[in-house]
Amino acid sequence: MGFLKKYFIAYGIVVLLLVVFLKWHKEKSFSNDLLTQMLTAQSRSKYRTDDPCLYTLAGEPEVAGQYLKLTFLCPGKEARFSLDYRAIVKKTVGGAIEELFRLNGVTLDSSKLKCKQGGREVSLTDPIVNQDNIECLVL
Amino acid sequence: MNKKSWLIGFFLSLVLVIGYQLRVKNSVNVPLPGQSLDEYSNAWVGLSLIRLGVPVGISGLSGIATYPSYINPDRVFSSTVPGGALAISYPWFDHPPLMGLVSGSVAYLRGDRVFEDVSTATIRKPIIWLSTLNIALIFLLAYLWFSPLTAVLAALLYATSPLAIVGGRMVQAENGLVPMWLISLCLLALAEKYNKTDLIRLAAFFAGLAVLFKLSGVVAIISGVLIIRKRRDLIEFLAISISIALLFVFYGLAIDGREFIAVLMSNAERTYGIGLNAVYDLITSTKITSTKYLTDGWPLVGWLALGALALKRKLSPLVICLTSYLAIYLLFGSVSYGWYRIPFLPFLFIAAGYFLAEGITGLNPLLSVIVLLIPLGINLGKIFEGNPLPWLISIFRFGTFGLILLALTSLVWPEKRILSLAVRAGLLLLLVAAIASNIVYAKMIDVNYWYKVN
Repeated sequence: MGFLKKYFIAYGIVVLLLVVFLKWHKEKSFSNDLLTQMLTAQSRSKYRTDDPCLYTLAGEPEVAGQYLKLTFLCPGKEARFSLDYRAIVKKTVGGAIEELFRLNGVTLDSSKLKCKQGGREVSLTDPIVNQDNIECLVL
Repeated sequence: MNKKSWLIGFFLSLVLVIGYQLRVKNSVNVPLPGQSLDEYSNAWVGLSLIRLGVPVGISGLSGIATYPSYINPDRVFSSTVPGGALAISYPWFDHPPLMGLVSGSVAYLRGDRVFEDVSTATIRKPIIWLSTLNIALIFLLAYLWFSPLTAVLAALLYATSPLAIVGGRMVQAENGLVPMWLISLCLLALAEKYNKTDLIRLAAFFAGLAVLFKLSGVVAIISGVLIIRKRRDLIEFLAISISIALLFVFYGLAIDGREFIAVLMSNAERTYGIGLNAVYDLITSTKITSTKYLTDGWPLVGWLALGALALKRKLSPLVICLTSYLAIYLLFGSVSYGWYRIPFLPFLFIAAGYFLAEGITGLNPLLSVIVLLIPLGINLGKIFEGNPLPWLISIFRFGTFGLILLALTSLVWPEKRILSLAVRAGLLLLLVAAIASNIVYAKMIDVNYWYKVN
């Protein structure tokens, strides 16, 4: 039997095993919960802070109109953020703050914030729409 | 082992240690984390394949469903990544998965479980190992193709070139493709030398693996086909290498056939940055990321040496490899990203090594002297930027003036052996200075220096 004939028999077996393994592994391992956890869980080595003004986000989202502006007024300083509206899963004031806090490793309890939208006081459960501009005072 | 082998072994070990040390120093911060998000995306692909059985990564393809997400490893959103969320897609089939598996496996073994755990401190490590392996492979290949002196010079230049050092840290598929291609070429050269068919089969296996790092790895198959002379060997090489490359298709079809085909179609229609000045840009600039250029004169020396080599010898494997990758580079429209140039480097350094070795041992050292002034001048310019030393400039001016005139004189009176010896000694001195300046320049490139690079 020529070398190539033997090779392709072995190759066929390897491909079969590979396909079966990949399908089995996906079937056994994939879940939306685990995917979400991998995408959103914070790093074990991330420095945590209760100061929402400590870290900034560089630049602006490059999606026309699909942004949300958040400003935090901390004692003696303020921090402004522009988030990609599409990436905020819970479309509420609290949801947007939660997303930003997750991103920056902020542990501050959201109930210690007093937020306004267009001069009007809003609660954490109030809905948001794109291009909203929310300002929160850290109490 | 004889004395020469010991000497070569000792030298190679020394070069590997130097090359590794230069690559490790500042590797976490240069290039800056997030300057290419592909680095993280590659590791995420591997990590998700291990944990989820489905590759998840950042996709740049149009027509593919993506999920905007914020993932902030190394706090890149506070530094290098402006604003927008990442276009996460799954199953991610933009490229074959081997680079993801290499970097993702190392991340997993070091305890990373979620995407934000992944950091450049972890994922650049295996790439540095591969880049150091390249030094040994370049040595072996140059030894087999040319001479021990060419091998020594090529390995030394690749180990100390700032461009090769910084490029050899990035988690880009090209850094996996290159060692596979080099192993394949070494095996082909050994097969020819010892007339062993088994080595050609093994070379085919590694050529196929190059494609599993990136589709541009098809260059390993093309160059192999152009190097192999016997028809039977050629058929076996093609059959084995293509069958290994096709594992990417079986992998894609097994995970999600419909999405895999959609991504392939989108990839085929992808148009990006095929500038008409691509070849000029490739030869005259040394791009390292999508925006940063790190000036290094050695690739230009390599291109000049390639010209000399192409004119002088019959079609050599080196010319085949460089021009084959040039064809792939142009086909893939690779001008936008610096890391697409990484596969040129080993061959440019072998060409440079050959050219300089010819200068030292051959008849005409004049061109080698002139060409060496390119990287030496650039390195000294960078080292003494903003702080020019008058004595150094005087040495450079009068030293090079004297050496070029001496080289010319030795050509006019070739019978004067003392002149020729003096020129070769001057050339060696210049070479030592160029390599020393490589090391000093490479060590200078820390995070503060990197911010100034444009």
